[in-house]
Amino acid sequence: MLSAVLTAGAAAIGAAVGAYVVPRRLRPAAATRLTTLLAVAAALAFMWMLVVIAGTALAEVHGVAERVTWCSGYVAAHRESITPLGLLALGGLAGATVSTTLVRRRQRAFRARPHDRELAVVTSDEPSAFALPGRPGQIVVTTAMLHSLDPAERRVLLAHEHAHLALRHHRYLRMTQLAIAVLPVLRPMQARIRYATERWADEEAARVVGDRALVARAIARAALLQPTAGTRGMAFTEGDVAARVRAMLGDPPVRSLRIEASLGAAGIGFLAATIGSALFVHHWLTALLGYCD
Amino acid sequence: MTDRRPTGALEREVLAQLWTMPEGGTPGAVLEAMQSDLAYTTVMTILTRLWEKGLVSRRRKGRAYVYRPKLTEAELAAERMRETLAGASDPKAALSRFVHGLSSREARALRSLLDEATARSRRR
Repeated sequence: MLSAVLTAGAAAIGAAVGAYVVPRRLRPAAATRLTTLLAVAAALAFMWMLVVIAGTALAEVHGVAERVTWCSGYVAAHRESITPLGLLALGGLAGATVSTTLVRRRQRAFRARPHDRELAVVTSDEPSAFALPGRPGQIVVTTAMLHSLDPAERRVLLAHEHAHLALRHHRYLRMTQLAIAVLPVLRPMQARIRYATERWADEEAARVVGDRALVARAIARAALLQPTAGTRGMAFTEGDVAARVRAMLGDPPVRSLRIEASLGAAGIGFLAATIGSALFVHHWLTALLGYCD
Repeated sequence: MTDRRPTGALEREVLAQLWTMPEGGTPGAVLEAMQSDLAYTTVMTILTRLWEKGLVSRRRKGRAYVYRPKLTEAELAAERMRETLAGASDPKAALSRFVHGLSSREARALRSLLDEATARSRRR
């Protein structure tokens, strides 16, 4: 039991650290996938750890021990240390359930309806454009945005938003948000996924229009149309748009096989450790059933 | 540069162009406004397809049709979604927008980057 908890705990810590370690300059597609993989691995490991601790504590409850044929002798021997930790774990699991439910509900609110057309133009003075995920999803643009960009820049905008939908970026964001709901220490990963998917869509748009400087221009011009944010905006937006423009004025990102492969292997390794821990507990339980009968 | 964009992308671009021309446009006017190297017949075909899909209306003017974008339920739904997004406590959690608001320092940085980007993209 202890080794299962330790394995899961180590996997959670390792994967969370791994998520933080994903370099910002990595190829955007790889950065998105690796950050998501490591965040999800950390959350799953942490959840499993809580389940093991809480499950052991639950065996304390009178009657449950007999019904799940747990070894009541073992539980009785370790009663003092298990109960408070078990309560904490139960609290953690309850909290995780509530926050993931809330996150799912909010995610479901921002979807395109199934038969919505792929481009909707809203009449408005505010320049704005975004993509609503769905099947097939919908690009929403305001007339102000369309008027303010020239036709070439408009092509960039549409190609960028379409890339978000075609590459299903919302899936990575949502999985990461759920991981954050389970393991709040992962909170900065949301901004990272956001930045990586924007860069990914920028690179796709550059591939479609064949002109990186044009994409840079479109991003910069569209951004300068926005009203200047006050202090509230700064905390989230500092440097991101300028970083995207600079990246487009530079060379296309190259694949760094060594970093990608090692982070990917680490993510898969942490997932495997969690699954292994689960199998180990199962095996231990089965052995215990035979012994404690 | 031959245009090999998928039809969906072209339809979106033509539709977006029409939305900047609320009085409507003939295929020729749309083609000229788009400043692209598409063929006239391509634009005509796309406009016809958009009309068949009910996204644009048209009226005859001489030998050509004048096409206008149609405000439909989809646009109204999108407007409602946009208002929800604007009112959301944490819009960044909800959706990616093409760009977001800037601090004045970032705006300054962007202006000089924009000059560089403009110079480079015009020099093809």
